[in-house]
Amino acid sequence: MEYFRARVPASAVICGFLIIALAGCGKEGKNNGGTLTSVSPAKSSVKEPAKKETPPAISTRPITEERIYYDFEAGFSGWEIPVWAQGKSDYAAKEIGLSEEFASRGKKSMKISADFPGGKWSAALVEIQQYLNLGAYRVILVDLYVPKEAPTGLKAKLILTVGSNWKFVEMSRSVPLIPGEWVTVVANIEPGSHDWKRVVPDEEFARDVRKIAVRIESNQKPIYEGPIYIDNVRGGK
Amino acid sequence: MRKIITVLMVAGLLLTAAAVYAEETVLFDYENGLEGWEVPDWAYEKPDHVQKAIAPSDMYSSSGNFSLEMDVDFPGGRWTGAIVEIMQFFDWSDYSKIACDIYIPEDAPRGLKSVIILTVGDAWKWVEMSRSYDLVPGEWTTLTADLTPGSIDWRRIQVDDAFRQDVRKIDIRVHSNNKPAYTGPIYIDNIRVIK
Repeated sequence: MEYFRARVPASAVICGFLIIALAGCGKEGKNNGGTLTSVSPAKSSVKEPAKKETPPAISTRPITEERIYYDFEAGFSGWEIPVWAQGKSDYAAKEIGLSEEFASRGKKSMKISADFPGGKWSAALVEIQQYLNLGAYRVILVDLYVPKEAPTGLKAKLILTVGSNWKFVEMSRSVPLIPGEWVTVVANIEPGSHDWKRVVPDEEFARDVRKIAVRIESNQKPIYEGPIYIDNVRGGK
Repeated sequence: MRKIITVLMVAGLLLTAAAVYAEETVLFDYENGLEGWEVPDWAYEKPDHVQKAIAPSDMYSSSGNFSLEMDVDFPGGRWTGAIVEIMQFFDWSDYSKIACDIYIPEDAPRGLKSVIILTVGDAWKWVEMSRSYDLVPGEWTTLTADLTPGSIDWRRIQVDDAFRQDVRKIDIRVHSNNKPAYTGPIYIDNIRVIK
């Protein structure tokens, strides 16, 4: 015993007793429940409550597979400027067309003719209403291009309408467009994602997408009258 | 020499036309009546379904001389639909798309939308298109939907090869979601599958 006291610190002894006590509690719980599984009692008693409270972890694995949903090679496929946005003073999309001037994939893209007056918030919005199950994908992506003559300062985000109550869910951040370069807007749609404003996606979120919208914004500035190109709307996993 | 060139050109054109024609199979063009199309009984009983009658018509057609005319009465202010269907077993394994043409007169309002609905498989699963097409007054609108595995054109179903092998009904529905109100005819024609 003297040997034991000399070699082992008192704190370690206390910890040892605690561990044994906790393990014992776990065993009793399992026995009472009549469970025959071989799960470590200590593990189950400590980790189970934590599982319920922790939001799902977002995968950090790279995106290795993509599926193109809309590339505008054969038409608009249902994309449009919504009727409610037409004629509104803060909505800047005047018309849309198919264009061969720029494309991030294939030969064509969707061209929005926009007119941002500056001095106030204004936005150009295009959308498609289509019921989609994106549950197999981890992210949704879209490519945007503004010509090199365009000013800096325009920003873009994705907006989804999801679920049976048609909930309008914006991305929590917007992505600056870079004149003369294709910019990819990426939003994570996995459960627990922080990419959406006031909504943390659950398992159902991506499975019942009813609209996809792309909104390009000018907040006071810049002033810009000209085209914006959208291409290659896709899911990634 | 000129004659040979002319003959070759005509032959080429004929072959091209034949190839294009072979790409599509017209299933129904109403040249011989309604060809089995009807308003389902349940739709007559539902207050939100507003089709009044159907008949073959030679007023407008996108193929041949006749189309199917559906008289409707959309009241506006709530969702209402008008539907026609045919029950028939189809195996479209050799085809990749289904299409149909719909026309509303020039004086009809904008805002009516349309979808194709298929009933498929042993479970008679009701499968609507995942997006609707806007009908444009005074123009034929072509609805097209992909039938191939992985298609995103159908709602609440993972489209596999079996989907197109066992189609049991085709429905075409036109709807008004709150607006517009419209009383008048809608013309449907040229229901076809495409390779």
